[in-house]
Amino acid sequence: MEANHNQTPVEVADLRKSYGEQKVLNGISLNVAQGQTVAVLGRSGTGKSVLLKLLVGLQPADSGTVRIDGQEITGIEPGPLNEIRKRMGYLFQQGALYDSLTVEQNVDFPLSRHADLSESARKDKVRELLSSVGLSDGDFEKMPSEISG
Amino acid sequence: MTASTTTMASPAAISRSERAKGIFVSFFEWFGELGMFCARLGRAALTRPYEIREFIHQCDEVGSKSLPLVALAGAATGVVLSLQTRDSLIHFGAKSLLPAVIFFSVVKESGPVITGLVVSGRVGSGIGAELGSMKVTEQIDAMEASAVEPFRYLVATRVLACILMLPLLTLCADFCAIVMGWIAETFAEPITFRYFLENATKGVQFSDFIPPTLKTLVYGFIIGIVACFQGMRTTGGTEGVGRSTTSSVVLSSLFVILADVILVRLILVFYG
Repeated sequence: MEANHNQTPVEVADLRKSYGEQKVLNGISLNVAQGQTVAVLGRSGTGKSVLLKLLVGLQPADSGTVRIDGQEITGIEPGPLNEIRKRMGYLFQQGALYDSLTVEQNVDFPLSRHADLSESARKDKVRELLSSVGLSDGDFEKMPSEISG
Repeated sequence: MTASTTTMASPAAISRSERAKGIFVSFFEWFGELGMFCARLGRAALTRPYEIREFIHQCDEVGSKSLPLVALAGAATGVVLSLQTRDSLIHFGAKSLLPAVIFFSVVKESGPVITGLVVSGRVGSGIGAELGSMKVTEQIDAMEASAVEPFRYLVATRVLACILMLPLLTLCADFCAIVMGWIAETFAEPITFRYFLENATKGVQFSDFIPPTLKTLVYGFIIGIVACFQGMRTTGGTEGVGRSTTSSVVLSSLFVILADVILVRLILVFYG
């Protein structure tokens, strides 16, 4: 994540989340500094994925605050939240690729909405990115279910 | 010592009342959530950027891909109406009214309702299943995480396509029903299509034709919104997708029929 060097990019304070009677996060606080790598460990069902979803604003927290680059994201409007999300990357456990789009269209999907590039420049960028992870020309038109891994 | 007159409810009775209370609460919760869903849809549909390409794609999915089914259902309705009504009208000596009966039955009621039900079956199940499986495989979360508003891309485009396509499909169903009604009539007693149409449309006004066709805008909204709502709140893996698909079809068909009752009454009040 690209961050403003003057601030702590990720600040979490007293974050709480419950599903019905089940308390998943009970007042968690953490700061992630610029360039720092943080691993969250825990047994299944202890709220690791929930914490990450709260950091991206995919789920609302019951209470507490999440600040990204100094900006509070709990209770923020979708427009400003999306501006913050554009600077973040999130990898889902099961990939979560759009199964009705080809591999190339999957990578192009956010670019076509957020990047100010011409169609040909976007296509070049997508192919460059796919090549950088070892995919060849023949794989670009495949559906996600047709490629392994 | 005085005997207590207080009677305790049995555990079975308590559990029944708790269950009834739960059903009652979830019934109103469902409508409350649907209301919030509609509000979020309204905001997404009215604000930029507009997903024009996806909207056109959905118009194709809802419109042109439903056309053969709707045309066939309309044609069958026309034939059945002609066969069923003919004997009754002969019995009352009003055989010459057959074209008008077919025309009015089709345009005012059968065409719109048949189209609504066929589309709620085909499109409602498709949307419910598609959005449901996207939800359980976290594709909708992935869309949100990549700063694309899923309500704008997935919901608004589908609901608007349903609203736009329903009246057009209804016109096709009406046309097929009237043509097939004429063909069925011709088998019994040959008449020209022109003569059939002249008899059918004698005294017809726009108010007989426009409101029943435009009421399908409401059917389109119901089908789109119910199917998207059920799909977007799917939980529980593939079994949940199955439940969403079924409930999308059942609820949208039910609401189309209920809306028809209200809309027919309103049309009668304003144009009757």
